[in-house]
Amino acid sequence: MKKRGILINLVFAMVLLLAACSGSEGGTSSSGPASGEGDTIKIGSLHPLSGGLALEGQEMRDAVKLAIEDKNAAGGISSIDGAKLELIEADHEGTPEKGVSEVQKLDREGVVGIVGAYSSGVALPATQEAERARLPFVVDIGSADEITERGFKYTFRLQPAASSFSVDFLEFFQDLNENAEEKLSSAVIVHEDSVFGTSIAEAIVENADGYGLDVLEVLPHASSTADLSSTINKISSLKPDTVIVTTYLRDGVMLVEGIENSNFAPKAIIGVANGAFSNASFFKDYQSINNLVMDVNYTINPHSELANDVKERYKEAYGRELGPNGAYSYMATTVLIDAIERAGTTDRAAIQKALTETNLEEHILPQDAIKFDEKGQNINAKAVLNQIFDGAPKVVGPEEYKETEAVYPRN
Amino acid sequence: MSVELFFQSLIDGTLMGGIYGLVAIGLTLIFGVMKIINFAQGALMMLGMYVSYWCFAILGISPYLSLPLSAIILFAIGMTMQRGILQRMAGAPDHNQLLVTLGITLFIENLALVIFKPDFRSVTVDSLPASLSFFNLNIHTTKLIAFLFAIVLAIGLFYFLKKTFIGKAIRATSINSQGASLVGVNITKINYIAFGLGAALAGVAGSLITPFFYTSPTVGASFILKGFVVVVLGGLGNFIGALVGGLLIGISEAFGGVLLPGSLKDLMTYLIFIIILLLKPSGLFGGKTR
Amino acid sequence: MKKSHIFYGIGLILIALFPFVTDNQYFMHIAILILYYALVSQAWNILSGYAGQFSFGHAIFFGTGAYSSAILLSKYNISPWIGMFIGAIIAIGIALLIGFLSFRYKLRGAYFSLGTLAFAEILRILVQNMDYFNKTLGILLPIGDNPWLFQFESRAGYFYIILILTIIVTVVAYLISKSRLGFNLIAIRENEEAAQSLGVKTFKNKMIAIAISGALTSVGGTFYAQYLLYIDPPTTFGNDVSISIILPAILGGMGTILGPFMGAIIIVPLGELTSHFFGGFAGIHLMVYGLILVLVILFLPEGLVGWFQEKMRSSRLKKEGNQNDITET
Repeated sequence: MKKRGILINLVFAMVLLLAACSGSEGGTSSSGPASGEGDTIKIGSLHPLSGGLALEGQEMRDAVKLAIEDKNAAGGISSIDGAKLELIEADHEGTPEKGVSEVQKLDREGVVGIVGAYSSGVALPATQEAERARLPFVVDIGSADEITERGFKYTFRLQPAASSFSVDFLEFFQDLNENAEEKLSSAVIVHEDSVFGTSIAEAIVENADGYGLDVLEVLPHASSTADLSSTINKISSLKPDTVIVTTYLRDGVMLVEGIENSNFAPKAIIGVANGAFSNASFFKDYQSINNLVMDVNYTINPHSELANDVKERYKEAYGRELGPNGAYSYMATTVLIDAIERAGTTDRAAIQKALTETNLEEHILPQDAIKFDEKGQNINAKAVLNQIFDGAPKVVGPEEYKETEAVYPRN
Repeated sequence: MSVELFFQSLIDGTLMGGIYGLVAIGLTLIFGVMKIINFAQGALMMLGMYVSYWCFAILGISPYLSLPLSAIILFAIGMTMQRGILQRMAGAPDHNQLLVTLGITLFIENLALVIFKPDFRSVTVDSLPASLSFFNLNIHTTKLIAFLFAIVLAIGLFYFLKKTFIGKAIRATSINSQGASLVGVNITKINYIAFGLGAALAGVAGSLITPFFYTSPTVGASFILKGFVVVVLGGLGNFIGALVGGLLIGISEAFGGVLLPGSLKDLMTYLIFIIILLLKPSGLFGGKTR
Repeated sequence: MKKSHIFYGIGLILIALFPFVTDNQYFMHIAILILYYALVSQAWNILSGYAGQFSFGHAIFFGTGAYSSAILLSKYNISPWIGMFIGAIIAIGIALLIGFLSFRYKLRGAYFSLGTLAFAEILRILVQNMDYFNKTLGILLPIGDNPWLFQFESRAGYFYIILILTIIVTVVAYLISKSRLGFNLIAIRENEEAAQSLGVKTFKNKMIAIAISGALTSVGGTFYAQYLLYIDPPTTFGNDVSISIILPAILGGMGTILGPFMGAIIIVPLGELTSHFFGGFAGIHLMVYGLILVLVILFLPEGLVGWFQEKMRSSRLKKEGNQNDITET
């Protein structure tokens, strides 16, 4: 009988310990969502800081940090007596249930809004939890269309959905062909097989006909794969004009390397929101193979002084280049801060209302003012077409952001 | 399927198979001798990759030259693991050892994440051409080197176990540890050596993989499951078997990838695995059924 | 015997009162996770703890449950309550197939573990490649507050559902452990040849164990799908799922009734506590988690419950020894 007594005691001890440790935290934020004026205003960052996506997650966390520091350096939130902002980091490890519990934790810590989440699989349940807690959630990256399709009031998304990714790509593809002497039409799509790659690939296939694109085959692979040689062999046997690539960094590099070492040279290699082709390490470390590789991506506006300034300071502070992911996290945070500023309060409902009225013209993205539609989607989001020349990316489309002319076909 | 595609697939599959075999060699030693399903093998391989990466990044040393260093460092780490943790649970149920290696994996991978950061690191071997080609077929040079190493290691270890005293002691321990200890083999010590050797082989595999695969804290996950499959295919503790098992998986993947739609090629690996497991659980070359 | 029932009763009432003590969403979520892990781990425990067939691929059944109810709801508008049973039936089918292959061909120990792992991977790859299952895009389930569709406005609803399900699974495990089936399973675990020679039908008993275990695990999968409202192949059929199903039972004590629950009550808060205290440094919390895992297995090889039992036994022996001393003097 005593045995059970001990067990029950232990249960209580654990519960108490858990209560105590969150209690100690609760002390500062016991006032709940509205942490009083004069205090710091907390912003949550929810990204995968460990596990397979840690690199992207940490890049994005750093960008959130930079945006917050920038605002603090500029005097904090002026409409709330120059209150300073504070970053609360959370790590969802790429797992949905962890994403949910971290949202709740951030809620308890009294954040006024969250920026996240990178993986669609986590973003879906995490935004739902934020909706339940009436906590504004600005999705920086998360491509599944459904994220903004559920009628949520507190979910906003800066990055376009997968379906618009594909249309952006197809429009660029059509433009390129119009201006080219040799028109390309046949293509093979290579994509990593999580939600990210699959949703983009499917949307391209669906809309391909209207844009003169003939998809010969779709070749998925796991991003952690040790080997892509069968994918490459299949490409060389199909001999498409174009290879369309949606991958993460490692598999993207493996693919280009493999194609380079095969007997077949496609006339164009075009990434769609590619994790490798817009990554600084790919520009630098793989100069021998990356020449004239293209990428349709969501990244900074090369003509914006502000953007280049952010880019430089980011590199100085964190030792990495500001990639597309980081650019979107920086802007998502800035959008949230802008809403706090306009709301003039830490009341979440007021911030949510301010977010719906967002009309941010001073930003680093290649688009018009940042505005959300009634679903919470950034309607003006635009992609640019990059091409790598001698190890450096140049914007080759659209017209208003162009740095140089595209070389297409590349051989 | 054209003739060219056929042979190119065969070449790529063979090379990749050799690499799976390479990863499995250390695993089969540990599995065979100590009956431990060592989930940490992938993490140990990752450490080997970082040894070679840092030697390259800081000192400019080619991974082929830092290979002995990574073997030595990993031997020490493996022995420490055995001595500090696994030896202590000699009497515990098998699954506990498996879970302990899982805990160790979590620890090592995240330690690497903290120390080395999550960045993908790459090593280039400039002195070698990226690929050799003849008859319109291409052979990836650094993969070929890894493949050749796998063969040399498998044969070398085979003779090491057959001919040397320590090798014989390891074999004796793997067959019957009580019997071995009766004839004067120091089981504890042999276990240290065997685990250390298994870890060193993971390090060697890591070093050989760095020239064609990104180094990052979670890289082990790309290889570890295939490693287990290969070990069972080849038979526990059978190095040559591991190599042949690796080739079987590598080649079936290469052809599966070309012939099957979607990512179904991964299915090949596990289907072959289950079929062998059911029909011949002692592996392709195992004599008696366990 | 009676007294222990009272203890359990009080314990249960205390747990059931939990939503009245706090309306904090975070604690409720943690409590739900604890019960849910206790459930799936208990289900695993029947096959692996009692019968000694160490499955490393219980994601097979978990994913089956999650996908069955999710597909039935999203495609055919069938309530997950019904989907849960259909999922369990499908899981039994798959369990019997895997069981038949594994036990007929006498896969034992590590071979059985690796075999189940491979089956889980096969299912994951198949689901990922089939349009019917929406490939890797996963299934998003509708939000609502219709209890008939397994939807609840508040967390308390999910809490009571998982509490009831966990109690049912625990009672099933308890009844099995006290039944002839349970004795047979333990006999198989301890020495299969001996059990067989004593007339235990090992194949049949193992088949029953894997069927029950699979069906109950799939119930956990259905709950998961309805609770998080989004599933995809890696989070239902992945290796990580299998591992997280196993851990509570091992920590708490395999082959014991309270083990999975005790394990879950340690491991879920442990994950939360490490990320709370070390969350500021990405990776460190998982290092600590891994380290604690190693230490626990090292020092409590029989799990928490096993350790208590051992402790109790030795203290009882001591007490008896003392009493003997007293009577002698």
